[in-house]
Amino acid sequence: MESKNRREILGSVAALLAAPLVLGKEAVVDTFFKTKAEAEPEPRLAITPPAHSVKRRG
Amino acid sequence: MSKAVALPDVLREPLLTDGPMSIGGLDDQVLSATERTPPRAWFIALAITITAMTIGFGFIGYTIATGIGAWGNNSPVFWAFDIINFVFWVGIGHAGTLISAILFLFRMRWRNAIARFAEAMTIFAVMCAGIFPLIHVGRPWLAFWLFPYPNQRAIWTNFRSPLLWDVFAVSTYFSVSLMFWYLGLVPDIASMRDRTTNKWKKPIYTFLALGWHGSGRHWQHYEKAYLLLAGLATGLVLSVHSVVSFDFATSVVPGWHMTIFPPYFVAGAIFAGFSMVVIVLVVVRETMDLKNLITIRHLDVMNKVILGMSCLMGYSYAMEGFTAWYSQNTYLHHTFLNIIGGSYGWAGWLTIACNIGIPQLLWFKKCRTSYFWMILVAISVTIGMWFERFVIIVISLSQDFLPSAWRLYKPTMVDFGILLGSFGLFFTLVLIFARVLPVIATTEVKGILPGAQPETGGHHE
Amino acid sequence: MDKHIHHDPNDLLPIGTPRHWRSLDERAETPEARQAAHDEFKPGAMDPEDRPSTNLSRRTFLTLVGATTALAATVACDKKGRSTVVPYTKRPQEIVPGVANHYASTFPEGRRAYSVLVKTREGRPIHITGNDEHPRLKGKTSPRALSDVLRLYDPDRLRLPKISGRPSSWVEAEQTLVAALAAAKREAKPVLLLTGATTSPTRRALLKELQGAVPTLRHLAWEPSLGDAAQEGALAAYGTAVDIRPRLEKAKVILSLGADFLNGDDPEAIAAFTAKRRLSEPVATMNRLWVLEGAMSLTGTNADQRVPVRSSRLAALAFALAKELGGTANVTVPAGLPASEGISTETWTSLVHDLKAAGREAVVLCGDAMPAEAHVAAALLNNLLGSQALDIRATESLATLKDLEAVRQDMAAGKYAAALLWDVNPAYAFPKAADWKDAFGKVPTRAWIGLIEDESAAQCTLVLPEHHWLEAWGDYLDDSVLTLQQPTIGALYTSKQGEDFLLTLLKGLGATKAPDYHAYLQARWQKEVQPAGSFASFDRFFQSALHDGLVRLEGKATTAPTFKSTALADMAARAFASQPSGFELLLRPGTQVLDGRYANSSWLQELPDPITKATWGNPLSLSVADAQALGVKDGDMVELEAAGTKLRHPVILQPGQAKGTLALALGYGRKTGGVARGVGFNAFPLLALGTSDPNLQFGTKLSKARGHMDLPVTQSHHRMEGRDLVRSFSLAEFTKEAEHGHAHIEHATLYPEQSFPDHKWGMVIDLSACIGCSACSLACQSENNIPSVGPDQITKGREMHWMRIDRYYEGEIENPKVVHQPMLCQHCDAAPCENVCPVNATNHSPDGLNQMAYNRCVGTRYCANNCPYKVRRFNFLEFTADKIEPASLVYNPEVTVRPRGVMEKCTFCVQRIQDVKIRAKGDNRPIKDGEVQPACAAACPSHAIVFGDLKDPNSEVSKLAKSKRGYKVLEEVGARPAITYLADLKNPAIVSAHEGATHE
Repeated sequence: MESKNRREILGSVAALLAAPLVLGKEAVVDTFFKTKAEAEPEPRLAITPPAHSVKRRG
Repeated sequence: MSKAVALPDVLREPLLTDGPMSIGGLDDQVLSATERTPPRAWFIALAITITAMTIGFGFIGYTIATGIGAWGNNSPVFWAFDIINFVFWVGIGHAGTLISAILFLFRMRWRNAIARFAEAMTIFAVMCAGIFPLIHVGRPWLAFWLFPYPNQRAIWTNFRSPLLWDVFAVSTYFSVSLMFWYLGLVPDIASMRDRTTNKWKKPIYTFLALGWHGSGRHWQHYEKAYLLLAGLATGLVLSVHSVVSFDFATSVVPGWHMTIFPPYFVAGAIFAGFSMVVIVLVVVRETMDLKNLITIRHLDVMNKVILGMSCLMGYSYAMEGFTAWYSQNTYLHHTFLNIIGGSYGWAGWLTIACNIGIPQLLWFKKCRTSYFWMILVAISVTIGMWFERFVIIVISLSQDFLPSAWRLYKPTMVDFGILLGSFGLFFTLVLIFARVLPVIATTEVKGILPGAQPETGGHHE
Repeated sequence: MDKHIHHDPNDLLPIGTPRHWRSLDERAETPEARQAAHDEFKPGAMDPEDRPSTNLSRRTFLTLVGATTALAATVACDKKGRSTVVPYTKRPQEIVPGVANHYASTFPEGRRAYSVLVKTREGRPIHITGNDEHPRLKGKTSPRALSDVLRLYDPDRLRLPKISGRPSSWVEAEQTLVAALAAAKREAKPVLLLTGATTSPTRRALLKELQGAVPTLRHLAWEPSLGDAAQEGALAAYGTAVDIRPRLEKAKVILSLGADFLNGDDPEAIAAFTAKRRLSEPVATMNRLWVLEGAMSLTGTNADQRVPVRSSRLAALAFALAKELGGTANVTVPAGLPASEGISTETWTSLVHDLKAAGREAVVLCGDAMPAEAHVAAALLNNLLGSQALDIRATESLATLKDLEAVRQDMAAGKYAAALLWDVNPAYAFPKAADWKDAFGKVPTRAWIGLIEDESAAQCTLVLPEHHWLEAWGDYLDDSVLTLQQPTIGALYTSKQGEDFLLTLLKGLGATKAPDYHAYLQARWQKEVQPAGSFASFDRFFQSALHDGLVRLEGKATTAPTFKSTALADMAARAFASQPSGFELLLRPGTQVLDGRYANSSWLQELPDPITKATWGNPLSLSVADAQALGVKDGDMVELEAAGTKLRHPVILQPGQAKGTLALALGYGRKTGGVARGVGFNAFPLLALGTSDPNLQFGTKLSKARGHMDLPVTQSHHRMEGRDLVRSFSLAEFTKEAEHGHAHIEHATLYPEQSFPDHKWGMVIDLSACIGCSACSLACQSENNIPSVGPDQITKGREMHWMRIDRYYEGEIENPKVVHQPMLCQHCDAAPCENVCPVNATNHSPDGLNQMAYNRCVGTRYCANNCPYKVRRFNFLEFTADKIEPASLVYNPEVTVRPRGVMEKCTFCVQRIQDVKIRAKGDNRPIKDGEVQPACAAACPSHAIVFGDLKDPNSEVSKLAKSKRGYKVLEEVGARPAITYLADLKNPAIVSAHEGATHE
């Protein structure tokens, strides 16, 4: 039990330390640098089910 | 100590310096190199090494952007130049530590003049080596996962893996060597602080000198710390390359799975390291006019070490052959035959020629004291030791258990470029060091000048 | 090409259905209305234009403000860019996200039709297996059928009709062609319809109607992969073209004259053949396969007794055999046979003895590419033996090269008014392609309908996109089973199936009222297929048929054609005639690409040839003796002079190939298709046009040329080097010493033994049943999203197949014993790879699997070095097509797509294991044996791969693992693999010194 608590605390501490780094990076990047996928790729293919087919099993 | 007995020549300790030398003169000779502008040759050399380094880093960047596929690695040769270079550079570093630490503990006082440079070379070599584990992984931006840090995924590294032992071994090696080297530098930096009038250098040296005043207590602490670190570093000489050899020895690959590997690798490391030290010291003593401090006798002794290691390597190769036969293990048998007669058999013979054949020249004192021969041998050993890792890694991997998986390996330009870059990095650091910090540990050499110690004859407690 | 995929939902409605408009705009068919209709149900509805105008999206705002909430976010994920996940606003009823749908359908190929089951996820077909409802196929199918799901998503597929190079519409295309047909009818000028073979009764009916509507229609059904010689032989022997189906369950002795019936195209034959070879006890009842052939075939590698003989001499030997069996009064066999072909008396006597002893339980099969006289001789032999192990059925003749040449001449003379090419590529496959193109160009109206624009389409004015078979309706007659084909996905592009196109032509000519092919098919089925007097409504009947994918045609016993001896003397004379000197070149369809139609499939190009292990190309095979005489090694260039042309080509040495022969695969050297272009060499021009057997070219000259090419092969070393890897025994040895099994080497281990509380998954691979067809490899690639890396990477040694077939030669090089060994991750209990990964990315699961955590792998590759079986695969470069449509649509969503820098390997299809576990848990029952079928086990036509729970003593895998033939590969390494191999058994007539357990 003690090790379980310790693990949780350690996890929280690690997350607490890591969060500013990760979130800060994302915030800065997303606010100031546009992601590359802005260039419009080809429109997605439309997937439609077959009209009169009978399936074997769902 | 009673009056000194007149010893026969052969037992009398040789003079460690050539010619008259005063303490002040020593300071002037050694420290002045850091105070004056380097000669033009130095700039040209630096330009070359920086170019090589830049090329290498360019290729590294390309590799990180594209993938390990930019190299020649394939299935089954998943490791090639990347790990060859890693082992090569770690090995080269071993000479420095042996000279600084082990020879210190054995009271071999001739090491004092060369220890600083050798130790610097160790640090630079380990820096070069350290690049390769980072860039050889498929996802280098995640290479930090190799370090065991607490994380919210509750996942640790795998402590059973030799690669992880490498992480500890190499980082320990680097940190201890760095501390050891820095400790030795402190009194010298203090000298430089006291000598310099340059307004930029003064505060830097002051900071780096850590307030050294040369008082009795400082020297006491210094000597104790130095001894402790020397003891720590001594263990490292044997452990680090043994751990590196475990990458291979603990695997199942035929040709890797051999108990001789730890001592074999350590011997090879000392072998390669000393050769690199010889090459560098020859250049240093000539260009920086330090012939009286780095004497021909130093080179002679180092060459004897090289010769000794060469014989040890010869023994190891012979043992490998014997083991391959004695084991009656068909896979090991095939690997050995592959090394001497397979597609890469030329590499096997090159290794033997460069590591065992050519260094036998060093039996002759003329070769041990002649620049041409010793540099020829040293270069031959450097090449031979690089190829030895090639033989171990590439040949064993290219033909192991299942013949259906056998395949040849071809390096690409990127492989060569990165290898070139590592040499560029190493020599750039060496060149910069030579002009920024004192290449000889003036403190230690002062301690062995004639008359430096209370007793005559130069005995030191 | 049109960027916007204009997909009007109205196109799904049957043609002729009244269309209700929803707005005045739509009725006016304004561009805005079209766009709105296009956009209405478009996935990814939150377009970038729809986002708020500030740069700060809602998500980033929350990230900045709600730091405490965001702490729950995982840090280790690979966040490369952002994509929006949007649920359906109106979910199509058919599709439940996360639940797979299966549809029965049919994969048509030439004269065959494979009944298959198609697995779809989120509306997309992703995996094909055999239809388990099929009485004889029992859920197995051919490797090419498995691979064809990829072609549905081929980026090179034609998406819009084109007229004279510009995008057009179906309406315009149909009008143009109807006008041309009507004109041709008026002027009584012939119209050419060139298609592939027709095994579809409904399509045949449609074509008949078309023939009626256009009396001058000249329909030629042409299959470039089926040689003309076979048909000529059949006509001579039976008076009609025939379809021969082996029934090997009734055969004790099989003689193959260059017949590659084990190559994967006939799963039923494979199952029947191997069923008698999976012996658990040493018994004496095992069938025996004799193979006489020139070039090595997969069937040859599985022979019990193989004799390398030049293809041209097979007929002569067959007639000599017939003489021995006492049949041929009017045929004089020349003296010297069989010794003149290098066959020893001992071998000959054994063969004769075997055939005589087996009688009606013997069967003789002749390869398609063999000369007509060989086919006649085989027919004679079967007749003499009274063989019951094959069914011979009369069938329609196909067009021969002679027929095509006649058409070409007519076209050159300007006789034809119009031509329509449907699924054929004469500009590529006709031997004199340049002449064909000249003549074809003279036809005023030239139309083409197909999947991917090819060499023939380049010349056509009307270029029309065809449905992929996964989008189409149809029925096919396969033996006595009528299989159905139904769409498994709504058409991706503005394509039509060929039959629908023909129907609109018919409608345009006023000859039919059927709205579309679906209706046409149903109409015919109602009339002719539904049993008379059936009480069920047609709808019920048809739905049930679609559900099963087939109906069995009871009591349709057709009388087999009888053997005619009229042509015997002529054929025998041809057989015994001497051949010109020089090399004999055998041109046969590529194992993977067939006649070139699959050349654009990267899966098939990357699949190693089961014998040579060559990929991405067709090197020239020659015997080792000839190669040594010429001084060439693998990959060296030679100059080949044949059919009046000289060409430079790389060679590959083939142990076991008859001296004086060459072999070259057709189907390569395509000029169109992103994948196919420039791969290999087009060998069709080398066909011997004008002779009776175009596939056999005589008088070929070979000389060494300058240059070398590193062949993209996946295996370059072919000997076992004395290592105990594949155990192969003769039946006699197995009978003598029954225990050839486990070496029982148990190494001590430092680590604590792992316990497996619930299940322990294991596998048994029966090498006696494995024929090396590589269906398992393809199925694995399809199921596990394994990328194709291309020829350069293969040459470098970076193939990605998780399952490979190792092929070794044993014994003498002129006639070696060949063994196949499927090699995959052995899921070792003491896995060498698990120890050495520094980041713990690979470990052992509680149910016995070696797990690979892709997201943890940093790619040090130590695990791959330490794997003695070398089954780990590393993503050296970014090999995937992740997020690149349409190629990414084939991915199985249950399996991670691995990025660059990550190691991967067989997982025993852990996604299938988990799926079954979840179902069983939901049903509150234990897992049944055989319920978990990894893709490889499901695909193997000979049931060589068995998977199951080793903890269950009653499971098939547990029982097989205890077999006397069982052993583990590299057991001495101590890795404790979970896969047991069962030794291969061969039944040679003559046990030579090289037979048995010696490994060379």
